[in-house]
Amino acid sequence: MSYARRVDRDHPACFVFLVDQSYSMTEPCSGRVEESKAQAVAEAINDLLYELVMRCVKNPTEGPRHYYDIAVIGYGATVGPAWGGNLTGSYLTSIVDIANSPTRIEQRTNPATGRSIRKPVWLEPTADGATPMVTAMDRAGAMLARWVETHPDSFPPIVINISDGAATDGDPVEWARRLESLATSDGSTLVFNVNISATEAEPLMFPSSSEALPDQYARQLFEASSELPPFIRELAGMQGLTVGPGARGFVFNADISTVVNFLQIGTATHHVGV
Amino acid sequence: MSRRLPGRPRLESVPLDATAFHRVKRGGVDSEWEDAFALDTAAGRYALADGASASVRAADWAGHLVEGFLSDPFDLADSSALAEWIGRRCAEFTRANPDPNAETMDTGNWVRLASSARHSFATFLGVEFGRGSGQDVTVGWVGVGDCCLLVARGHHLLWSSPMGPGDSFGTHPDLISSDAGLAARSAGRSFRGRAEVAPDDLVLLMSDALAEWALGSAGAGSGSWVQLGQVDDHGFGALIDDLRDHDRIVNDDVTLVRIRVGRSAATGKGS
Repeated sequence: MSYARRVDRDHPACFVFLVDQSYSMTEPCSGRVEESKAQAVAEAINDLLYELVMRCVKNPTEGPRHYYDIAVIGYGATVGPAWGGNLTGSYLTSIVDIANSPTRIEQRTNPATGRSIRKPVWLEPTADGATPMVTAMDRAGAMLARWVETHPDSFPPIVINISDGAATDGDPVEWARRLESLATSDGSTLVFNVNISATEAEPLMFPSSSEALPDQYARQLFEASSELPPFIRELAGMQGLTVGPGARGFVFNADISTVVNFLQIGTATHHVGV
Repeated sequence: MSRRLPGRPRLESVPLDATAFHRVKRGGVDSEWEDAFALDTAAGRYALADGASASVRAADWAGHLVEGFLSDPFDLADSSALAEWIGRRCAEFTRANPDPNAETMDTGNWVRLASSARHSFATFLGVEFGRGSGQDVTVGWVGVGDCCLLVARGHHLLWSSPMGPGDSFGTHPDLISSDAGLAARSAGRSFRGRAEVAPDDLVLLMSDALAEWALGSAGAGSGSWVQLGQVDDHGFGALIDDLRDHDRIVNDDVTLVRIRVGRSAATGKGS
């Protein structure tokens, strides 16, 4: 049975986030005119990292346990690890080191409650240059080839690519297939793609075909996305999403709330169960 | 965690023989077991809880729930009584684990402060034996999530709750939160029932991984109920090791509470 391995310290899971940091990410995010797409994505990933750290804490008096290895690779004017602070230059990083190395603690006001909240920050918004998505996938592949060798029985890696445009350096479909060819005994690497938007159009989440997609770039990212395994379909269904047979790990025209929802589903593993 | 609390003597005439077994998930150590059970044979009350791995203090919350089932009885048939009971558990748990002062959070202590402020989650099953109107022995139960109650007679499974043979357990069961604001919602997702049991019936409380195996097509099946009824701690460990070695059970904490209804006093014919 594939995608059934429970996450534990002997079998950590691996998440790789590929983050578009091209110039177009300076544009406003859908529904948030005061916030750029780069800011919204950085905030979503910081929030997700926070949640992932919390999933690894069993007792507040202990530190988090090593359940995840995580990389955040930015692609724009340059391609490489997007961490700041003590993690600068690090590719795959243990959740324990991530927990210990936020660059700062940010104080904000919760708009719903008016209460002050404090959140750690690891990723800062960046937007410059073209969209070398394929180069980022290549870097991820080199990294994951080593990871699956050293974690042959772990839950397979999950790669989540977040972009507002098209690759400027090649065909991401071919490179996604290469990433999927990297496997553990529990299954092949899962590749998710999130197309973020500056428009108010209705997002399309986990489609089963590319027929409704408006252009070749969206269809290309659909093709570059893995078919969802049953447990993710189940989770998506529990969240009220209609997920048909053959659904892919792809979101088109996503606003930031859809991105957050997608990231939470995409990073689910059986560790979340009881 | 196991507790045997002083019992109330109302079931003196119903001999119940209860034993519990558990094993931590493979790769873990005993202190990382996040299930909990509690037995009060004198009162005929038993409980099992399974702490949600992804939540903080899951083992403590599971232990708090099962202990509370013995020390703070309520009417299992009454959903509002369950909600009030969960509310009391939440209040006690919060008093024991107060929120920290997040204003002092910095990059060095943020994990401790942020995790201290989060809620805990667990599935739960509570069971209570009693007498029916005809002096038959009955078992009542209430639960939230996928800890399961199974009743076997001889070589056969009579019935189970909330999951049945072949059901898909999934990965996201209903949970009881330590957030008092969610007590009514948790109670609203509960299952409950009451049924007669007969002499020599085997009443089994199982955490999800074991129940999924037992109720599956490759599970306990004919004959194995006898094995489960007779196994000792060593045999239970060997059984779980064998199931794990052959990938026939999910690698999770495993707990079994086994109760044998005594022959001398039980007079019910079963259901």
